[in-house]
Amino acid sequence: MKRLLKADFYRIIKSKLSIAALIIIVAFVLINNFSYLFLKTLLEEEVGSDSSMNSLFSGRSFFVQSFSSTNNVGLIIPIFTSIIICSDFSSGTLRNKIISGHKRKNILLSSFISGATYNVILVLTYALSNLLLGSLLLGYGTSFDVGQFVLVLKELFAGCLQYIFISSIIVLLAFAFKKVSLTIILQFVVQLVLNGLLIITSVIQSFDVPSIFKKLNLIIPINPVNEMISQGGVALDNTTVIGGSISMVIFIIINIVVGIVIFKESDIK
Amino acid sequence: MTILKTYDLSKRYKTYYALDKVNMTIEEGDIYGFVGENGAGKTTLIRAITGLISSYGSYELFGVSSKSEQIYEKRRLVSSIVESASINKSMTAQENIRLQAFAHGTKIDDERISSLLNKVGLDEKKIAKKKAKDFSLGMRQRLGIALCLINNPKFIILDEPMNGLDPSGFIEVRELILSLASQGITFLISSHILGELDKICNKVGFLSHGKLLEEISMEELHKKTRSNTKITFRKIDDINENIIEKLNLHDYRIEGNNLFVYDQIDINLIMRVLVSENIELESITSSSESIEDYYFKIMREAQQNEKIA
Repeated sequence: MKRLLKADFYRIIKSKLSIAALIIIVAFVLINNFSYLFLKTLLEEEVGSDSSMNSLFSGRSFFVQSFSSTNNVGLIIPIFTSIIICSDFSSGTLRNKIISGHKRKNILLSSFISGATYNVILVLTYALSNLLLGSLLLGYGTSFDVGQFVLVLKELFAGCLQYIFISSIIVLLAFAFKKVSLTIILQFVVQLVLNGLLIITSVIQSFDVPSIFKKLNLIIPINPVNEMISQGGVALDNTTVIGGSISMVIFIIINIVVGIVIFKESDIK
Repeated sequence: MTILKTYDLSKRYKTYYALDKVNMTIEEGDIYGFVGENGAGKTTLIRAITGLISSYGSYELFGVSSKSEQIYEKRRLVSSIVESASINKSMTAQENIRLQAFAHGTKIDDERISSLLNKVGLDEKKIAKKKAKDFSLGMRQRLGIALCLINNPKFIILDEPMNGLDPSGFIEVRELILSLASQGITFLISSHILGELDKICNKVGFLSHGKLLEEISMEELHKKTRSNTKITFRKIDDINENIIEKLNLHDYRIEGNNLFVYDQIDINLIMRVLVSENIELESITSSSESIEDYYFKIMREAQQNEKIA
């Protein structure tokens, strides 16, 4: 497994996509922060400043938004990861791994670990850059105390876990279909479905239904990040984080196990 | 030591068998050539024994069954090019070698990389910064062979290794294979180029429609395809040691009621002996068969047998 991980990480490091992804992320960080600085300055000149504006245009707000899977970078990261993982099939280098005597289970696990690490590094780079530059240019948004530090850690945890969950979807689809276009399209479909389920559960909450139905959103994997963003990064309760994390871990395991079962039986051309 | 032995190895795709109960044996030190028409099952067989596809039946690699967990350990002694060299086209040759070395767990330094590239005839200075996607087909094939050598394998499987190579490339790859074979490496090579297999292999298998029609040593094949005089006797019992001695034959082969004579024959002696022994003949003919002729004969016979069946 160590050998496989070394090979997979080497492949990612040497890939031009890795550099392209970092350049795109840095570009978005700069564009977003400087655009919002300009906007904030204009608005302050027009209507003056208030606490809601300070909260909206802040490093804290950008940090929380960074983890959204539907913003610019949130859409790009899974595409790049899909391309990198699927390139092992298209180049035939995956064949070399099988011929070399690696078990298929280990090949998939190595792809998942390296892909998830790549995902997390990219999203962390984006989120922490937004936090730092945003705070420098626009201010943090609120006072930074121990409570805020704990909140940031919870959000980092939930956000990274979400991208690990997205990696598990990508790996399952890549090893099942072995085609980059299908992998990209289907993982977006899965995310759309999950977002749809979140909408449905939040609608259900507004009806007079047994309390168990009001808790359904806790089991949807992308719920914690969704809560983070909808709350404006003000709070993230532990039940949401724990419920969502357990759900994400369970689905990650399911995706990997199903991926292994499919891959073990499939013929490699 | 037997490197590879297959037991009724078969692969079925929906309505047809790409491999149909193939039983073959490759001993240590063999350079085994695989011949067959397009779609015969050569690449399917290679995919099956390298673990890329599932199959019915089984095989043993270095004495270990394909159904055993120990097979993964034995696969580490094998290298293969299947259909085309598996290289990452966005990397340079050196990077591809490093990538493969990581996957094998083999330590590799710049010196070893240079040595591998030189061995396969790739000029390191010329290709230093070139991505593999800019390589010619021949260069990619050479790089593929270099990748095969990283883990110091005991058994190398090459699927059409001459693909994309020019005549000088043929000679280089041939000499490389022979040099590695002399160091104890066993080869399985599939190819359409019978002439090249003739120069390299000591054993050949003829594959058609997934069936292994014949497995024969090159020595035996040369015997069968040398120029000869074929004497067909009317009665099979007429061919015996007594006649052979009287005809003063040393280099001959008996097949049914046919006597193939490779010696220079004295037709007068033959006629005298046959008359004195009261032996009747069907025919006496001269023939000279190339390996290609033999190959086509085998295929024709297989097709006829299929029609009858």
